[in-house]
Amino acid sequence: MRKLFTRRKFLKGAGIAAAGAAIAGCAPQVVEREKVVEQTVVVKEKEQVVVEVTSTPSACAMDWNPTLPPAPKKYDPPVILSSPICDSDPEWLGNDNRTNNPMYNRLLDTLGVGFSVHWQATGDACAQLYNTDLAAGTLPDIRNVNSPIEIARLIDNEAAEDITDIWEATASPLTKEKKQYPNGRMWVPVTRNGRIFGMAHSNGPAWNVEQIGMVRKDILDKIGAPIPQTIDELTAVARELLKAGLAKYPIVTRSRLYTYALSLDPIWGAFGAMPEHWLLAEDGSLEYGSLRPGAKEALNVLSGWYKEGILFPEFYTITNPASTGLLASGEAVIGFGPWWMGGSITTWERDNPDWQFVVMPLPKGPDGKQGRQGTPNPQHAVMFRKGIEPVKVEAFINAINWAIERHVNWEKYEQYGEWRNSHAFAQGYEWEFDENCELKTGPVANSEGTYKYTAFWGVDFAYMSYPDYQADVFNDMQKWLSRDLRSLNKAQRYLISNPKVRREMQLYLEGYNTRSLRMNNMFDGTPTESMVKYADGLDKLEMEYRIGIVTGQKPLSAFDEFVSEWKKNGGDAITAEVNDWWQAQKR
Amino acid sequence: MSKISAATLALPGNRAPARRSLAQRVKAAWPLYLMLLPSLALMIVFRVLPLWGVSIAFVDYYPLKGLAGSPFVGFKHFEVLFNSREGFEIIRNTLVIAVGKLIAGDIAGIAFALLVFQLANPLFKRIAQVTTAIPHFMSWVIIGGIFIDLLSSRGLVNAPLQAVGLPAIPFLRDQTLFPITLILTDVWKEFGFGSVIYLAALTTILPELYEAAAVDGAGRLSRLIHITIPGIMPTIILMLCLGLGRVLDAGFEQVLTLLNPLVYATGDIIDTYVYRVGLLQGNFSIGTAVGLFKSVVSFILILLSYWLADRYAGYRIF
Repeated sequence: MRKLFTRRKFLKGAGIAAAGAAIAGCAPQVVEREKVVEQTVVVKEKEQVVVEVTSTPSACAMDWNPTLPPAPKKYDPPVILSSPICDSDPEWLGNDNRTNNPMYNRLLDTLGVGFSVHWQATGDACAQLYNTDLAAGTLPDIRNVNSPIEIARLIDNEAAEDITDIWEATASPLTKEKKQYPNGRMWVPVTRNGRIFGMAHSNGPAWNVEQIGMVRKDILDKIGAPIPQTIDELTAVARELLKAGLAKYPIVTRSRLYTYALSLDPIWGAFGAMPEHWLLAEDGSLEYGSLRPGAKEALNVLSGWYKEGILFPEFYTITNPASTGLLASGEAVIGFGPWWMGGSITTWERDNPDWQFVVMPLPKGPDGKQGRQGTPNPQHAVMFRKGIEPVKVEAFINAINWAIERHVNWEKYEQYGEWRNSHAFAQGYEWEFDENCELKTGPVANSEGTYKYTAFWGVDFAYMSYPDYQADVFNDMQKWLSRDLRSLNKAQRYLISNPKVRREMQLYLEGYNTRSLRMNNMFDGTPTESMVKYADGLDKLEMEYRIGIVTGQKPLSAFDEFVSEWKKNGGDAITAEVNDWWQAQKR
Repeated sequence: MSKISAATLALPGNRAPARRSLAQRVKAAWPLYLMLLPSLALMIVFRVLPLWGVSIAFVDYYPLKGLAGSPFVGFKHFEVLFNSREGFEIIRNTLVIAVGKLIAGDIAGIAFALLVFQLANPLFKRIAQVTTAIPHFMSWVIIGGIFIDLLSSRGLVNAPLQAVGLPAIPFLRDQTLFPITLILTDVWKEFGFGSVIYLAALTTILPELYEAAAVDGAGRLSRLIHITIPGIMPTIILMLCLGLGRVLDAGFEQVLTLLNPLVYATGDIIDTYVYRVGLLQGNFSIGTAVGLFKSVVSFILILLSYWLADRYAGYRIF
């Protein structure tokens, strides 16, 4: 037996196997061939799209005439700014890429302003690379920063350029007015001693985080229930749906419960509380919303939901796409999301013709309270690298001047891509002609695709825009609805008859018109020393208790323990600092 | 066990060498010293010079201003570690998880080595060794994903339990079970590879001892207790002693992959804290302070482990 497996034989066998593997590896493989074929098919599909567009019958013509505002200045040679990208790429059409597509080329050709990719990453890798840049002194020319803590850190590190003089000289009166310069709250984080160290931008009310209730009416009809108006009614409906087997986890949420989409913050709002927000107390001071007695009542409701199986059992580890997937699969039928989820909803309804999502009002609590988190005033800023060449700052601001002129007068310039995200509204991209020479949706016109096509982090849409931008656009479009369709051009007809556009318009305006329900974070100053010092520990503590109570790992009475621990472990120091800031603001 | 120094081994006849100056020694063995130079340079560049960076722990560090431009704050950043609930938790969790892994990992490795050693079929023996060693070479990102799928409330383990009306076992969301899950999953991943050293130790036991014991009527268990275990005891002690030096390494990748908010209290460790605060939040000073604390304690433990290894297993490096 032993002779059968001598070392020599083993080595020989291994050698033959390795050689075989090498030959097999080098040889053309069936699987690879299939892949190649698949790729060819994809390319062909893309080519077909382009061919279809370019071979449109000459009878099909645009009946609007898009023009562009004159360039404030054309840079020759072009000014190229480096910027990191914290996003994945869309599926590019043809030979397009991040720096070669209609949206990018329009800016480059008209203004001579372009961008280069400093690096591209997603998730935590982005934060790591940002911090590595800071530590190594390899910052990009511009960087979009999403948190006041980060903005403060860049300024305190003397890593951000003072752009005051160039801004004052270059920003157009229209840009300054629309961006509420200098008195808008959004400028607070980037301002030090009257000087600005970044270009603030805010998407304005009802934008990213403001949750709008959405419910599947077709499912409610099956149990004969009206659209729930209160927390009790919402609970009863969810219970009934579970009982009837019409939903597996009726109400959807994400891992922190309170977040930017599919958040359950309206439940806190129904009890007059709001997690992670500084709210105005009865005595005029600011208090932390997670500690309010109403927060305990909200947790009581949520833990009841969890116990009854209304929430996904492992929501605390669920990824964002997976939570959205619960709605897409029909396992969940009720959710609270921002207006831009209208795009996804339209897709789901298209794929499931019997589905019908309708707006559900924010549920009222026992005292009739309603509330949701509000879009923060100081939201983001584009920060410029310390030592950046002044011409780059000037070029960037001129790009914003040009964009805002286009936004504000979008109907005059007939730039219909301004309806959202500053699209170029290019044929073969956002739209194509159909057989009746009317417009139909193009290959990149789904919400994410177009947005990613347009997005060049640090310069794309919102950063060139202003707080009331979306409200202005949708209000303009509302007027089209009352007009005779024949009096509209094809682009206008296409937009207001597009289910996705209509849905997003409906949801945005729902949020905008109920903006009085927003519970704003009253602290919008630079993060205090204790906030930076204790941020990690307190966040962890809050998550541990919040998720622990909801999942039943901790009793509801642990909420009082949380309040005491929060105060003891740095919360009291933060509260004192926040109120010092508040008093200074009032003065 | 006697101590054998490098100098003793170097000279035939064990005679004490005549003491030579450094210059003489370098001259006599210059090619060897020349070959040592690249390694020495690498060590200085990548291990010694970066030690300057620990001073970040004692300043409010502003990267672009450098150390000179960052105000000195003494031990302020260490206070966060020692005066907070979080600091106590991460130190305790690190110790519990790392010690648990050390002990359970060694026990599993020894037990597996003993079982494999008993196998008569060499082919089966090798297959068993290779298959159990494979997980060691896989990233925790992959293994973590597999365990999340296996151990979640709807996973392969819990789904059948729930199907027959039994409650799901909260492997990943119970604060008591989570550290145990971490230890057991780590043991599963590492025991095959960890048993290699014990298998090597087992082969050094003289077969005559087993034969003599068998003649004297000793059964398998008696031979195990009286011959095998005493035979590999120095190796066991050595491995445990050396493991002491790693007692603050609780497994960063594994914890990062499996951690969730429900188990922060018993699952968050020093390394995940440093990663989060230092790299993600960019609080370089706090991250460095906590990392420095870990390094100092680890250094002391390594010295202790070498002393113990010398004392109880006769193992010396220096």
